[in-house]
Amino acid sequence: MDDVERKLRELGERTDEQLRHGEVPRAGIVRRVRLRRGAAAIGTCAVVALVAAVAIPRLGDVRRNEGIERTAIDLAAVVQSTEDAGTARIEIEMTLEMTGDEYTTRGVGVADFERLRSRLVLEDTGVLGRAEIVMIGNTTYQRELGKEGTGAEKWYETMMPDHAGASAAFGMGGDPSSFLAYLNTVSEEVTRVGEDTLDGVRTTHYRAELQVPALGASMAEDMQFQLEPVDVWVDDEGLLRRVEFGVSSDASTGLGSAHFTMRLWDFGVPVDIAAPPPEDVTDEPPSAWGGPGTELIGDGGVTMIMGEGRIETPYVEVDAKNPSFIEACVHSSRPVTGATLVHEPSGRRVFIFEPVHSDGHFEGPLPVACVEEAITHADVDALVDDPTEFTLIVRRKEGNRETVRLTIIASSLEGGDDGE
Amino acid sequence: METRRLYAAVDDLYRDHGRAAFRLAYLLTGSRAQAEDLVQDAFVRILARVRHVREPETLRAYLTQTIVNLAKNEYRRAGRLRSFLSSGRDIAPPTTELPDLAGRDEVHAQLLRLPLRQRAALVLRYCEDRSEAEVADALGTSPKAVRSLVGRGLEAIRTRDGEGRDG
Repeated sequence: MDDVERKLRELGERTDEQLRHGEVPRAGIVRRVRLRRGAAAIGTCAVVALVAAVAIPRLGDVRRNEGIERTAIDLAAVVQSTEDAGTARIEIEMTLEMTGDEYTTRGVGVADFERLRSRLVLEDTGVLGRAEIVMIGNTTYQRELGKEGTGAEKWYETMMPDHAGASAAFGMGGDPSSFLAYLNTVSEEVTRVGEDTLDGVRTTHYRAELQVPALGASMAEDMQFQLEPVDVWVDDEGLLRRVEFGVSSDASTGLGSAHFTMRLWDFGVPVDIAAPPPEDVTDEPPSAWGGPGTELIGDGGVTMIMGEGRIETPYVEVDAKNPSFIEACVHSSRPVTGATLVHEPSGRRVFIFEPVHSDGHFEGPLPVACVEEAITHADVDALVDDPTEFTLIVRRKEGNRETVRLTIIASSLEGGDDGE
Repeated sequence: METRRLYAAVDDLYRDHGRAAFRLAYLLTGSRAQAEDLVQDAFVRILARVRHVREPETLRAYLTQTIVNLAKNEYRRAGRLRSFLSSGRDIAPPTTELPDLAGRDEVHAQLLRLPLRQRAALVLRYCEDRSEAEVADALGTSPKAVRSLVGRGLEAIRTRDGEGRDG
């Protein structure tokens, strides 16, 4: 056997061994929400996605308990009826709260439950602005929208939504049209809350408690958040009109909380949801979303073992378009209390980072510590014009320091092929 | 209920193949953090589509495909970094400061320099010992294309190995 082939096989076995002995963390379902303030990009909110995936319990029998009336309603039938309607207008609102900051994304559009596609205009409270999104199967097309509603020339195509709002709201990997599928699962208690008139339509409001174990013990172990009760509003025809749910987590996890609302109306409305023409599609992300104009500094993707700790994937990212903020993310298996970026040749301390999170460290297997510092345009220019070696000194709670060597890279955006 | 069976199948998938999925993602990205995100996203996507899965037996293959696709997405987004690396600038890998580490992860580092599809082909074919047909399935291509990708990937690594020894 060829030498290289043997080495590759050994790599596979070695990695497997590391996993068995816990050297490489096992896959967790919900680990973190990455948030970049100022850069107007919110990482995939898999927390909400998973809530959606866990689905809403289905009512079982009529129960009476403590005077609270429970009504038998088959939510699966509600979902079926709603899906049978074929299409609907939808409106979504997603709010993410993390480390004291709150981000809200709203979207309005249409969903086709039959063909599993959706089209939405999303709006963000961040710098992101407005974007139009078309989701067809596995593919998402998105483009920036100007204030007048005029679209950017090109649609950005990706397999999963990149846009903050889309990612956050539909990080489930699907789109609103397949979201309804989640409203089916294990029976649990559902309470009839009352009646509400929504936009002139009489509905019955139900509340259900989500049960994480519905997913199975393996996944439940990795959960680090709590599911809030789910609220649904069903009209007299058995169609779903509104859904609300949310997740929250302990402050120490740094996962924040999220709340999601979806409203449906105009069932059966004719829709036109189609992929944009190929000549209008590109795979370069728009500038506002961390594409051209964002300078990537540092060499991410490298695992280094220094001293007793482990520092992975250090990177420093600056949004050149909105350079009021620089973030250094150090994924470390041990607590980090801060970091200093030092210009090697001169010894000058460029930035001193303090932890974002109030308690300053994270315990256990959560390998995230993000620190941030305000910077200016001049700082950005200095960093990107002269690629030089910088050192990131990471401070530990115990007072130990570890050094991570970073190479500052300033590169222009060039698409690359993937070797075909 | 059909859906419940499918959710149970996904849970089984997570329990039985979650670690393997992480290994694949880790070999493809070289980063634990990215691998975690990838696996997380992959399972979320699977849960999203579970109702449209016809046979639970196909879930494992779908998991592999999804991880490769998500890694490809990440790879495309990191295109800026890649173009810098390919411009020939010399970046001293930090790992060379620790001899044992360099020896241990050298082939992984070489893998990470390859374009994503070549990398995926090599990881699946050799690190994971999959058949050509399975690799083709995971990459959404033909066995012939897989052979080509594997060949080019191996050649790229051998060439660099040769340069390293001479340099």
